[in-house]
Amino acid sequence: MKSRLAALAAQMDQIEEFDREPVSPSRFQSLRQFAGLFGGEHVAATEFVIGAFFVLHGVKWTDLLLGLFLGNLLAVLSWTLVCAPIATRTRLTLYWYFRKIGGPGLMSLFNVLNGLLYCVLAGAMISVSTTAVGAVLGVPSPGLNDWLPGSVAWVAIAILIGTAFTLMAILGFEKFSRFAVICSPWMLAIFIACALAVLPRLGVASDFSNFWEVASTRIWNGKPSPGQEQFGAMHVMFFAWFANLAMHIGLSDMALFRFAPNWKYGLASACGMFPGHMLAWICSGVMVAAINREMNPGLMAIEAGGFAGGAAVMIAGWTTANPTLYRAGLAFQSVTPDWSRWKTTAGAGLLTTALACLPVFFLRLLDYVAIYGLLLMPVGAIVFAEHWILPRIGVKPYRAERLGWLVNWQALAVWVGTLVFCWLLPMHLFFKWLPGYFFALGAYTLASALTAREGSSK
Amino acid sequence: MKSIAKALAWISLAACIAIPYLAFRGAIGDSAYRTGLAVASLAWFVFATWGLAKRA
Repeated sequence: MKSRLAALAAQMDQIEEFDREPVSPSRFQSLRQFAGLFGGEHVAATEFVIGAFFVLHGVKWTDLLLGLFLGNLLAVLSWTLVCAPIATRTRLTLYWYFRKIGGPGLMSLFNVLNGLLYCVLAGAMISVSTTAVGAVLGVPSPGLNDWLPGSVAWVAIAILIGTAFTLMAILGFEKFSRFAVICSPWMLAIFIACALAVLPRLGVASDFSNFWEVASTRIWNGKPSPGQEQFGAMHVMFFAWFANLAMHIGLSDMALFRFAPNWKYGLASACGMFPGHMLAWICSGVMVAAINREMNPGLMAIEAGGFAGGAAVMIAGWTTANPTLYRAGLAFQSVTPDWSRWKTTAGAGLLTTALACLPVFFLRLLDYVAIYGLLLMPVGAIVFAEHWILPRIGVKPYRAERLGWLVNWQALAVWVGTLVFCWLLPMHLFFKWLPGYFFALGAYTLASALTAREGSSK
Repeated sequence: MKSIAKALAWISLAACIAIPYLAFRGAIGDSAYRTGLAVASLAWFVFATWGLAKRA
């Protein structure tokens, strides 16, 4: 087992070799580039679903505004005050930094877990794209509380789309990525366009004079759809905060901010959060209200925007799935040392397409996003503690690197223990990650301090 | 030529907002709105690929 883990870690190191060295100042990027990056990444297929679900969960208009503003602000501050400072000091990716802390074995396990989570997310995006094709072909979408597909036709469409997305990821990831950059501003425009176009159907006057009243009574009216839990401002705030938990608190975006001249560049994340996670979510809420709250992103967009709306759902699904499939392929390449990149991407695509046939992942997207962040959050806490807290309490950091550990068992124990702690917490899923984060910080700091004497003498 | 393509791309993107705004105001019908949005979208992709893609 140990030798297999070591071999897996060595394979992973080879794949990540290009990013091993700390970034030099000559490679720093401008604020404009960061703004563009965030602006492009956070208008995606998920926005069609998430904003619509806030309507279905009976969020009130004022709660939505307050929750989205505060939650996105907290996300921006998390990037700026948690992720960017560590990234600009170390100039490393999370892969290489956590490797020093958790050991190559633990980092490899983290990578594979990330790959699996990426596959589920990509699968959900393919399901979202499937609703667009289904709407055109007259194939009914699964019901709001369904876990399984409702028809063979739905499965067939999901398989076709999944196959197409996988082929594109294999054949031309980089080329298509450049194209995806062009899609982002257009997608935001389509969100706004579709919402504007359907406002008259909801009774909004042409001078916007009654918009607030319509928003409060016909869209975000505080009445959840049958079978959906009632959400309030706190649910919205926490969701907006943790929607990218793995990236900011979880520190995955060290990969981006290692290119920033200083930590203040974390504020560029606002260019993604407020247009994508506030405006786009409001727009998709308007769109779902216009089709009587039917959770069908494809139908929503086609009814609101015609061909352009349907194309936006397809393209949004693809632009989210494409890099996700690529990253999953990279992660799995370490566990299949004899396979070429295209084979591992094909394998990731096969898994993703199979998952896409199950509508549960996009119909439970809010819960999935919460679980995704929760599973990876402890790693961010461990790294934060190692970077900021341990040196201040006299504990020498990076014992895994210094002592040649394959796995930092304390880190693994804290990771697993934090997840158990979160599972046992008697509170809503959306709120669990925050006490869990502090639990992980405290537990790792305590464990490291207690064993420091033994480690520092070596 | 590239700078012309870039300008046309941004004009197309602006049209993607302007056309639905006209529909919202009742200045154009549903059919004209849907067709206009589709054409503006296509124009964005054509001109943006030509004028912006390499920069990306």
